[in-house]
This record gives sequence, C-alpha cells and structure tokens, in this order.
Amino acid sequence: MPRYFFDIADGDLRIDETGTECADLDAVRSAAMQILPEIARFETGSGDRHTFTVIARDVDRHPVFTTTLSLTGLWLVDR
Amino acid sequence: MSDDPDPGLPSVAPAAWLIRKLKSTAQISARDCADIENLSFTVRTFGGRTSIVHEGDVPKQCCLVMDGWAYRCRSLANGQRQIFAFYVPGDIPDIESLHLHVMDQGLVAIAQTTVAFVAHSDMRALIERNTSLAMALWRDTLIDATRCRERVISLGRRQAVGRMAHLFCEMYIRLRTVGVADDFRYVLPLTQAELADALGLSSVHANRSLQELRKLGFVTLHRRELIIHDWDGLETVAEFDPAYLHIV
Repeated sequence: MPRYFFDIADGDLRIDETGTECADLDAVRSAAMQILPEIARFETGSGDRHTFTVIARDVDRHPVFTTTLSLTGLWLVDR
Repeated sequence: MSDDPDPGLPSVAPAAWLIRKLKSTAQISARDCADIENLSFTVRTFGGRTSIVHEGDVPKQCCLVMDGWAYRCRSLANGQRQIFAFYVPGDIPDIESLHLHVMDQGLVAIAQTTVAFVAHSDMRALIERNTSLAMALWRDTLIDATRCRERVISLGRRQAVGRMAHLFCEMYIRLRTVGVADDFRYVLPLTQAELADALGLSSVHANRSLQELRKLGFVTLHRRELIIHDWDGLETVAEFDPAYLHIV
C-alpha cells in the first residue's frame, strides 16, 4: 500500500516523518477527516478559538488533501 | 489450528516458561514445579497474523505462549477492530476456556509465535490435585482482569500519548519479569495499525502519538525494537503505576 504523510497544524505545525499506509485516496480522505476530531477531543486547552488543519501528502510529499476543523467558543455572559 | 508439532523444541521449555511466569506473581513450591513439569505439552509455531484460536471455537486445550506475542480482539461490522489484550511468553491467554467453553474472542499470533498446548483434562487434573497451583492460576486470571481494567481506563480516559506510553510501560515490565526484555528495550512486533487498534486510535493518530513520544525524548522505535530512553518521563506521561500487575 502507498504511504501518505499527514502534517498537522494545531498551533504549531507537526511534520509527519513516518507516514501511514493507505489503500487509496478515499482512505487518505477518511484518515485525514478522522484524525482531527480525535485530536480535538483532548487538545482544546484554554483558548476559545482552535483551528486544526491536516495536510495529507503523497510519497513525493505533494499535497493531495487538506481539511480543517474549527472550534470556536463564545461567552454569552459578562465575565 | 495450523502447522505441525515442532519436535525440535525441548519438551521442558514450556514448563519452564509457565513456572517463571507463575513465580512472578505467586509462591511456587518445588512440588508445584514438578507438577507443571509433568504436564504434557504439544508445541506448535504459528505464522504472523494467523489465528491460534478462532472466535466461536470450543477448545479442548489451552495454550501457553513460549515465544512471540499474541492478542485477543473483536472485529465490528464496520470493519473496525479492538485489540484488548496482548500475551507474551509465560502467559496462558485462553485459560478461561477451561470454564467458558465457547471462545468469545479470537486469539491471534502477531509475528511468528510458538505456543504449547495443554489438554483441558490435564489442566483440570492438575488443579484438582494441587490446590496451591489452582490458586496461582486463579491469581493469574485475576491479574489478567486487572490489566483489562487498566486498559478500560486508558481507552476511556487517557489521552492518546498517555495510552501509548502506558502500553509501552506495561509491556516492558511484563517482558522483563519473564526475562524477555532488559535494559529498557524490547521487541515490539506490532504494526502501526495494530498499535492503533489496541489504543482505540486511528492509525494516523497512533503514528502522531509515537512521534510525540519520540520528540519528548522518551522512546524510539526502529525496526520493531522499542528503546525507552527516559523511563521516568514515560511513566509520568502514562500515569503508570505497576501495582495492578501484582508482581511479587
């Protein structure tokens, strides 16, 4: 199976150095879509705005797919 | 079941593994050792990713791991799979089949794995005449349950990196206890996908967590060898306390 690399930006950019095998481009898409809510579950920290982006690259490091997850909080009372 | 019995392996070896394992968690007397050595074992080697026991099987024997790793898992209709227990030399992964007749999960050899089968009838006879061994085996199955509870905590509540760190810590302690690991390194025969299926993460997330642990300087994994560079750091991020392994 071809290997794809999933670079993830969540404040800072983490370059994927080892990659993950994916059967086809549909598998790349679902892997990219799945990783962001998994990360967001645990990494929401203290701020009210979080943006998680993943860029999937092929073995030549050409980007093939990207997706972004935004979490935005807004206070509805004075604090 | 596959493969032929391997006559090249000495018959005393399986007993030695079981004795070593039970001695790590219970008091084992000379008589207990002799009784284990008198058991009749059938040694078989399974290729990587082959089933040792299938879900739904009604085994008449249980198996003792001598070399390699095995895991128990369940697959769901959506193609997802949860691995919830790893077994290493000295473990009897399916000892429950003595009492629970239908296997409710399969047992799979990870890489090439050698196991020794013992007939249920022989195990029952042993347990009936040797109460101390019966207690040691009971204790062993209880510890299997404590490991399972610890896995539930990981899957339910630990962050991804903590889950992975916890598994790495547990496997090091278990492998070291039976003399298969030393000097903070061991063979980790899992693929990235298997690691992910054990930790309840996607493959990409498992990969990211491993790279995180490497970036922290805690571990490196190269050609299936895991080296722990900072045990204290790994233990801290895992919140690992080996008390649940009940090693004496």
